[in-house]
Amino acid sequence: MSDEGFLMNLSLHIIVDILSILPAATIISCKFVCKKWLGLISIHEFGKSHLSRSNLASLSSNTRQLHPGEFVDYLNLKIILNVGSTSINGLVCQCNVCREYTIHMVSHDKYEVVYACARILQILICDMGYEGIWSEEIMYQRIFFFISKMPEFAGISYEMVYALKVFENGDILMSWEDYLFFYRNQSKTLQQVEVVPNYSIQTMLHVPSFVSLKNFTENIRVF
Amino acid sequence: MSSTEAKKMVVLKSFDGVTFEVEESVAVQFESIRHMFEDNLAGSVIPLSNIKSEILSKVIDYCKRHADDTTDEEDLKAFDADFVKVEHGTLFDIIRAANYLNIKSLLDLTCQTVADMIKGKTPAEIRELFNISDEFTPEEEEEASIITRFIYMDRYADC
Repeated sequence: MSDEGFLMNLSLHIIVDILSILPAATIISCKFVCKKWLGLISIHEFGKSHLSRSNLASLSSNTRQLHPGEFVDYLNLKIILNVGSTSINGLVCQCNVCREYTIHMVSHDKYEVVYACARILQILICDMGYEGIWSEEIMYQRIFFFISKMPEFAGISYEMVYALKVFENGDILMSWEDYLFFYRNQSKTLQQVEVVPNYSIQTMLHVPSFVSLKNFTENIRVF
Repeated sequence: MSSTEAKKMVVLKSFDGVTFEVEESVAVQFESIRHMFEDNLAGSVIPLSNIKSEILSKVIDYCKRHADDTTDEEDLKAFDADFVKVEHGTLFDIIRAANYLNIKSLLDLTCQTVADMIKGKTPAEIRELFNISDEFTPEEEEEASIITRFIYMDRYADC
């Protein structure tokens, strides 16, 4: 057997398994390796496989405001510019910021301040336009509906609410200004999630579906 | 040696006809063929017609190590790290065998190894690494190179 294509001889689901544990940047690179990989990465199942391995996280800063960087739509992903600092289950969000960060990781029920680091962050999260993932419009409408029912938040604009993650069971984690909210689908209740208990912070949250926090530093713990 | 006699053995036969006698406590890790020896077909040989003896012996080695409760975590990590230091062809054969036998931890280990090789590389580097032929037109290549430069900005900035 020649050396040619050892990797290519593996069955497709194994190749998908391998590719779906790669960080976002490498996956984009992988799209240009060969047509077979381009095809694999472009399918819905790949996105699901990658998303299922992603961890929920948020980037928060208590030092200064987080700025999404200038958008460069090299990938022609039709990024929606005014929601640049957030993502919904893998929506495009690109920022290139050099700031001091405290990184908070938030999972379904627990949260923890994990690590503080200072370095250039490049976040590339791609909107692959998958079926089954709620569109932004629907998300915002739903969130607005729930938040507007809470008297203490009457009058806020839904544009300011960012959906971060829609869980399989319909639960939603969302951010509004300095707060995080967790919507429980079963009980139809909204609950505030305390990330930093003492004071308000500027939060830029994202689902690192196509980029994992592990990319930023080796010391991030993952739940 | 009464203790060894008490252990149930399973006989596996590789694609090239080599037989391996394996303790059942090790062979239970082979999820996909488990039912064959659990049905207690004593003494019968289980043919693994798509795994070469060289690969099967490695896989058995791995499973023996992982079935051994006395090995401590650090040693096991070192063993794993050493285990995947093989030629690409062998590595991919092990992946195929792990997939066929449904040994999840081995599949995870080997897939992670391949992923680590790919991580942070440009398309051209990945092609070279795995000897994949280039099917893209010069225009597509140009586009790829712009994107690659963009996504690996960090890396290029270091140059």
